[in-house]
Amino acid sequence: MNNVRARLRRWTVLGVVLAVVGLTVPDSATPRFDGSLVKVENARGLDTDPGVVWILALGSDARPGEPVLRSRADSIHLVGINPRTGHATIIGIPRDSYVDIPGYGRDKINAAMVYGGPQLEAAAVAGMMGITPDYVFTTSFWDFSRMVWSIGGVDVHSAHAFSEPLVTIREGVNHVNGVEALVFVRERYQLPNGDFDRSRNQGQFMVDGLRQVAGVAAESGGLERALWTFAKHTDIDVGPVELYRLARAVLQVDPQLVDNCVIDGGTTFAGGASVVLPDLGQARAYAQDAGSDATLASGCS
Amino acid sequence: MLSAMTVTVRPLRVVVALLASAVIGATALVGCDDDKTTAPTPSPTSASDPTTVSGAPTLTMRPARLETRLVRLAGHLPRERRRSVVASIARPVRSWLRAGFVGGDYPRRDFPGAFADYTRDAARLASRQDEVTTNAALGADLVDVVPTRRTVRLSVFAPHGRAAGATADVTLVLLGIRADESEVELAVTGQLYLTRDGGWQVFGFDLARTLGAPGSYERRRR
Repeated sequence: MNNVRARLRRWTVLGVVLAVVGLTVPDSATPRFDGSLVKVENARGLDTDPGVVWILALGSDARPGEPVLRSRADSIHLVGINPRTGHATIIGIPRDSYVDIPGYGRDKINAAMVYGGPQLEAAAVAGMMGITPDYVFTTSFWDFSRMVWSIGGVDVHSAHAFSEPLVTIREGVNHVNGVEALVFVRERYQLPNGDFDRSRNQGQFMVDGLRQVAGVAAESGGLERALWTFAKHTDIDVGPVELYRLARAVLQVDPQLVDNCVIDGGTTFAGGASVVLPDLGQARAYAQDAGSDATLASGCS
Repeated sequence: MLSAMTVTVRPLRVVVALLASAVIGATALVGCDDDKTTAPTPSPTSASDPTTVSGAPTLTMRPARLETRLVRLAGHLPRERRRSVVASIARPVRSWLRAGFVGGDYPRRDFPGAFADYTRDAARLASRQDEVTTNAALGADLVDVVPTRRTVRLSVFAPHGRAAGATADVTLVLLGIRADESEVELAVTGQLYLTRDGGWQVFGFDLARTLGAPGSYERRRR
């Protein structure tokens, strides 16, 4: 009888223990590890021109009512991209650079667009740099601003802090909308090196803008949507197929692999106007260095 | 190289453009393309229930249909032409999936014609990476394959009433069986870039390949 009671007690204790354990330990489904570690192999490729694609990016100084293509080029950047490697080089050209303009003698390089539109501006840049652009892209103040709005603004890195009425730019990263972006790329008086720093800021905005566009394009149909908006509001002298391919090529650029340099120069007067005598040796050296692969082996000298 | 061009932004209302883009972009056209493959005769049996034909194990589960869907139309394309345009764009994608993965007899190492609808340069680049762009890495070890998921989602750029470029978001999940009757799942996902230059051709790709146990792709998605 005692044995029976002892056995019953043991089973009761065991039962209670099992019941407690059963209540406190989650069932097998709960602690299951649902994560995974998967090896991913990648393949990427794009049929593009084997060399560097050069794009001349111009910001027209046109005011409302003035012809965008026959106003001065307020910002001038020669951009080389290498879609195969993701490298790019941005070479900022001071707008007051005093150079030869084919057919018009020596003048500020930004006057070439007034004389002969983007084609002559491209010719003047080619004469100065030794590189003929494959494409010329021209925008105006207001359409630049609209494009920035359309991609949701840009996180731009600023090397300097400055402020304008209603707009404050901090040193470091700033999220700017279309209006603030225009302030950022136009400001020069509050920058230590004036127009040279402004040109550098404009190049920086291209890098950061590319990062933003890449984010938009990464969404399903994002590139097509952005391109359609772009094409609907631009005069384009290339076919849509070439435009689509160019866009894909530009998106191959890794913003981390972009050199952003500005050609140095000294200031003097010519014809009663302040001009910049650009360092043509440096300009040619940049062009030669980046010509084959869109990289500057020595960076910005 | 390429001739110089001028691109000038006109002062138009971007807000209107974005609104119109959203409206048109929301218009989706769905098309199912029942791409017959050389996979075994469809049967309701599961992948884990292989049968043996002529001494070799084969999969007898029903191959997934190739589903082609227009998810975004950026621009204008007459409604009556959309189905045929989608079919035209999907054709080189389907051709690549068939020749590079689904079609033909296994085991095999070569996948001829996989890049027949790629541009010459893109085909050269893809051939160099055939362990991802085809089933070359596994093909010799498999005796049979069957697709369990095949989807192609198209985003089309059609600025002047004609489709000029497109992105194809591709998902291919393939169940393979080895000679020892073990199974492996291959998932190829990513994008193909296409333009219409005469006919539609693939001029770029960005693809990823993963291997796992059967069902692992769906588990990762959950």
